[in-house]
Amino acid sequence: MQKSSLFQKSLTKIWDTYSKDVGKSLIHLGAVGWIFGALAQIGALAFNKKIDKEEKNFLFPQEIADGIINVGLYYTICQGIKSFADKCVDKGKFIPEFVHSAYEKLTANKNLFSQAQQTQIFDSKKNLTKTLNAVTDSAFVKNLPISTQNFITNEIKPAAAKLSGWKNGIGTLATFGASVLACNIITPYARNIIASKIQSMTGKKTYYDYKAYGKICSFSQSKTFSKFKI
Amino acid sequence: MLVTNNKIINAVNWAGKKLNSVEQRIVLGATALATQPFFDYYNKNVDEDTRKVSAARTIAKIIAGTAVGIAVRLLFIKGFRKFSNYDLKIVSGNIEQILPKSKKDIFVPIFAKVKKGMTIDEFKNDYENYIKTGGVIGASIAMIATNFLLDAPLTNILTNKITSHMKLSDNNKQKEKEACNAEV
Repeated sequence: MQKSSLFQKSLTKIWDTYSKDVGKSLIHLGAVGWIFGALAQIGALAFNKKIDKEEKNFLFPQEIADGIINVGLYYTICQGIKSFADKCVDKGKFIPEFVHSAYEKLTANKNLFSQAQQTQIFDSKKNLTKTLNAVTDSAFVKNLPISTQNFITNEIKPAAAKLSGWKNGIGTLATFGASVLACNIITPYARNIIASKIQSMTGKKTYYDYKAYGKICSFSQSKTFSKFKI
Repeated sequence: MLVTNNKIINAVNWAGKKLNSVEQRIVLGATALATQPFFDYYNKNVDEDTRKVSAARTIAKIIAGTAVGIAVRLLFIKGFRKFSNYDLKIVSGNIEQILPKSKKDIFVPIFAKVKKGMTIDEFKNDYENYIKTGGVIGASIAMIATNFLLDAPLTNILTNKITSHMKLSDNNKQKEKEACNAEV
């Protein structure tokens, strides 16, 4: 029998983890992408000889803060919002009506299953995904009477498939929205505050008082800006 | 909340099937352009010139990062797909195993377990997600290099272009103010 190499194990892991959950792949790969992007920007800044030291003094902390905050907030916010969205679906708070009806039919026909089977299907806490997956599992179904099998095939299996697609879609949309919130709203605001604090701690003077030049309607461009030929 | 509107249900299902990392990158890039530069430009904690340069750099970074990010992802997804052609071993109506179509299809997960009773359509959908994820993993590794080779230099070039335009604007203001001063 062919043995699974490390490469094939990796491919199997990708299949198992991400083939049914696009949102999860967006979160994990997004975080990895941001880490690499941040490292590249910091490296490029470090080796850019044309930016003067004064400007690097501000841009460095900004890039580092940008990277740490971006990755940290991205993962935390996306994972948090996606988990909340998944929970809403699992608890039946936000599902297609068809799925809700099928679940109600299943709970109404609990007596088709033995006590042990009911324990297998129904969790102590309501979880539609677990319940519908458990009851439609082929290993579970094959031991049931034909009439029960028909009931599951006709009434429950279509609902389980619909729920899977719905949950995947909700998770994807939740991750999209969460990533926009994390990367484009919360992160820029947070990074500027932190980078500015770091700059003020370094004691750099950044403000050129144009009034010191003695004229009201003309002023010299600041040294910082005029030097900015990258 | 129970959803009865079929349009909404279909839209959500579509999102789960069609949206992935490439689309996410486009949305992030577009929304970033609409928001991030303003945070930098109105940052009162630094002087005006630094604010302008910071905003210019942010715009450049977004354009460069988004363009390169999308291109690299698309390239690697295409590459991963090219070497992932499969055949299915079907026994009694159930998909038993995924098999590579030829020797060059090295990305086929031959040891992956397929849920019994899964339809061909469901499998195709899952396999499409698998291909896109595999491609993006490859792209993420490639982006270690492209971030330095493409992103960063492109960011610098675009920053220069944007700041030179800003400088022209300030020069025009300078001329106006000197003219104003001469009249006084």
